[in-house]
Amino acid sequence: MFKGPSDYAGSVDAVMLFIVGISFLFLLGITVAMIYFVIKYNRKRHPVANNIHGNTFLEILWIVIPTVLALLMFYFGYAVYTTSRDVPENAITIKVTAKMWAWSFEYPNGKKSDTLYIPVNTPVKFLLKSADVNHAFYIPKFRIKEDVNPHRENYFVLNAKETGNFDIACAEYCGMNHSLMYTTLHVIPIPDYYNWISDGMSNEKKDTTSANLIDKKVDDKTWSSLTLNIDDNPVGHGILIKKGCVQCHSFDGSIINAPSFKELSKARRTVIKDNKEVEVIVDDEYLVNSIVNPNNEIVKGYKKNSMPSFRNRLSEEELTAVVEALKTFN
Amino acid sequence: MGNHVLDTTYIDFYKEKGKYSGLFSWIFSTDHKRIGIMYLFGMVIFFLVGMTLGFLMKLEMLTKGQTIVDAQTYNAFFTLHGIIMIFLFIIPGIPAAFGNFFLPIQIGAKDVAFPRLNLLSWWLYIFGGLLAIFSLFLAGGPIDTGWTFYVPYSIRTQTNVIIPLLAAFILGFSSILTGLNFVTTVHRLRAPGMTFFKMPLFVWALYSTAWIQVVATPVIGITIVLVIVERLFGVGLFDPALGGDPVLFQHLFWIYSHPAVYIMILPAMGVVSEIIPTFARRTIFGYKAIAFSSLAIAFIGYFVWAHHMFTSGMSETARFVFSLLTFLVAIPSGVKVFNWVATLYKGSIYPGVPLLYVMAFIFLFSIGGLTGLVLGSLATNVHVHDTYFVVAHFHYVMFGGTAMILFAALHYWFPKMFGKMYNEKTAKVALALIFIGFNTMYFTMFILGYQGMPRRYWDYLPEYTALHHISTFGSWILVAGLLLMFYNLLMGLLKGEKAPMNPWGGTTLEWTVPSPPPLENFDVIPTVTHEPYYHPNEEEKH
Repeated sequence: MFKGPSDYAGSVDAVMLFIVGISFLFLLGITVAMIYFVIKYNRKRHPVANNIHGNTFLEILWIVIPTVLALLMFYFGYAVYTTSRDVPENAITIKVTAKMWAWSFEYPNGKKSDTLYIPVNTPVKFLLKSADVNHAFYIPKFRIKEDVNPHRENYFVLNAKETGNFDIACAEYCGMNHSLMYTTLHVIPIPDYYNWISDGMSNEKKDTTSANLIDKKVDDKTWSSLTLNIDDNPVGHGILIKKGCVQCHSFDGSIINAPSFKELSKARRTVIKDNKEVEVIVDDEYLVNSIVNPNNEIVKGYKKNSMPSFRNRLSEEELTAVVEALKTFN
Repeated sequence: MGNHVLDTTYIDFYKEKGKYSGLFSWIFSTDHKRIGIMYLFGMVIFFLVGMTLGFLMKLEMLTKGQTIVDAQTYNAFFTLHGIIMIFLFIIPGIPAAFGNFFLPIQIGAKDVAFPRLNLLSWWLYIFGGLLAIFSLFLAGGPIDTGWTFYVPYSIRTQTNVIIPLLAAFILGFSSILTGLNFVTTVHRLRAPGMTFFKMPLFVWALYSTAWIQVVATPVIGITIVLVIVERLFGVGLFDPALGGDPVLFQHLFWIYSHPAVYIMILPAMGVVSEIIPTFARRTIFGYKAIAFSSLAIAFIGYFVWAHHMFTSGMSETARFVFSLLTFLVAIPSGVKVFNWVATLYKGSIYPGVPLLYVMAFIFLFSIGGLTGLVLGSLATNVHVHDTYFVVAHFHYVMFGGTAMILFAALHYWFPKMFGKMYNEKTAKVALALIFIGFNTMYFTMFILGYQGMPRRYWDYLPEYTALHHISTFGSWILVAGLLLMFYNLLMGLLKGEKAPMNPWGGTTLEWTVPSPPPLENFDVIPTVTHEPYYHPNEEEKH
């Protein structure tokens, strides 16, 4: 009925038009009647009022008609919405992971990327899970949104009819850089998609679309260097990935959003503590404190409140394992 | 009625000599009128703080990236704007200020049922408010969770969360006690002859509201305690890292916070039902329909909370049921609007300042209500949920609705409360500025939202720039109008002409006592024989 980048988006716009159209008529009727009465029955023209107490027929009329219209609106909204919940058998499943403040996508063959590639004219089921707080996966042009929660996978289905690049936003408030948590959806021809997906791990094209507000991302090198180390201390390294630490702290000395993990052990750092600059040597105690109370000592040049506290989020053993892992990136 | 106090030697409640003098004569007073005025001043101050934050937020949104503050500060701004406007301004709002002042007078009582409890409610309100403000200056920095405090973020952020939560908890008690007081007052203290169906509709609205305050507010109290326990002791309730369920928090939060929007709007609807008959000089159209629709809203309003959570991942059945119920709750609000407009039919209308505010309200509230249908429908909700569309809808309902009527009430009852008149011409100019500024600022947000601009965003994509410019420009007009309105009222208070007992020709009991009323309102408790909006100019049957 309506043209959109998917059939679903077109139908949502049709429901919108239906509701807004009826609403507009009501608004117009109410406003015009109100202004007309106030002018026509102005005290100068109409000094004596009629004390009309009510009219049962009118009351019934303006209960029944709006109820019928409301039920129609409900029905159309529901009927269209359910089509985004049906998972066709041939749907591709892509895992979406949200972290403060970036997205990562995992394809059926295990390939990962931080911008999303899907084939055109193919139903795709997104499985949504968060690594930390609540987020929401929102593709405005496709009229689709679902919360990305940490405790349970949510899903929705998308079947794009047009190729092109579309913005993906986070729509559930998730802290400081919530408004920068954009990435891009690339809807590409089916053969291109299969080429792309089988083309190894390092095919992230540099993105220049408006959606890409975050320019510094975890690059492939970070992930591969992590794989090298992971066997030495699976618990500690595992937590660094699962809890999203590596989203902001690199292993190789590059600065993403936060100080790098490289050469951390025994390093000297200038930190801001109680609004004063203090020189510290990185030891176990410092590392534990930085995980449990990250705001207490902020490395000079970085912002407060960037990192959530992990107090009560890690057991003693896990904390020790993380601290050990942090000392290995030399 | 016939008990017009014409004695010029009466002592109004401001001049009454009590046990204390000066400030103490206020903060230790159990007189419902003094408490009402104290609430009013507290609320106006908090409103000005909230308005300033809102103004700064709009200024920040003027340009892409940083305009005046960084992201963290902006996040604190919208959190504080929400907490102040909701918990300190609009929830106490009309009931605490005008309900306290006029509920006893309108039912012919000398005070509320529990005057000391009433004073305690005010103390809790002020204490809670100060605690919230105090928390801003503690180490850790101002709270940045949004006024919805969603977990797990609220459990994990390093900012001060516990003290503002504690403040909300205390404010909740203030609200519960006021509700309790009003329910009892309405049941026990009505004047002889004032049956339920002879009560003014403002009283009906306050009565419905009071039940929501009593029944729904404890849920938020419990929820807040659970969040505090989780934060302090790491008990797993809501945070999945500890085995909790964050969606459970959302349910508990909205079980209170959805009925709470009816706590905010119902009293405003009551005020509309007072102002229209007075200025149309005729009885209300459909008294019972309006009275029962208040109860219907209060009742159905409990069962729609999860429409705030259509994208949270709850079951398809829940989405179906809550969407359906949401459409049903729209009907009683519609019934009220139709009856109000019908009350203007064949009236003898004087378009005074309060009526003009009411007309602005009907227009803005209709837009707010009708866009609620877009949010109730699942297909469209999923798209506009958590976008500027919701921000616009909420402000059309709460600002264009409740706050606009709070201003209408202020202009309507100002002469009664203070015994002075304000400049009506200036008041009309202020209203025109507010109306234009409001629509410029908020209507653009509907468009931004439908285009996909998420809310609580410090930065935005370049394609939204033009509409953000228009919206920010609107905020300047709006603030100018608001300041002019407050200035005009302040001038009225300081230098205004003395107001007569009944400047508008109202028929409810508050217009039968002097302006300002004496300490216990009535020398003799009146006996009520008429319906509340009895204008005897034509029908002389009674």
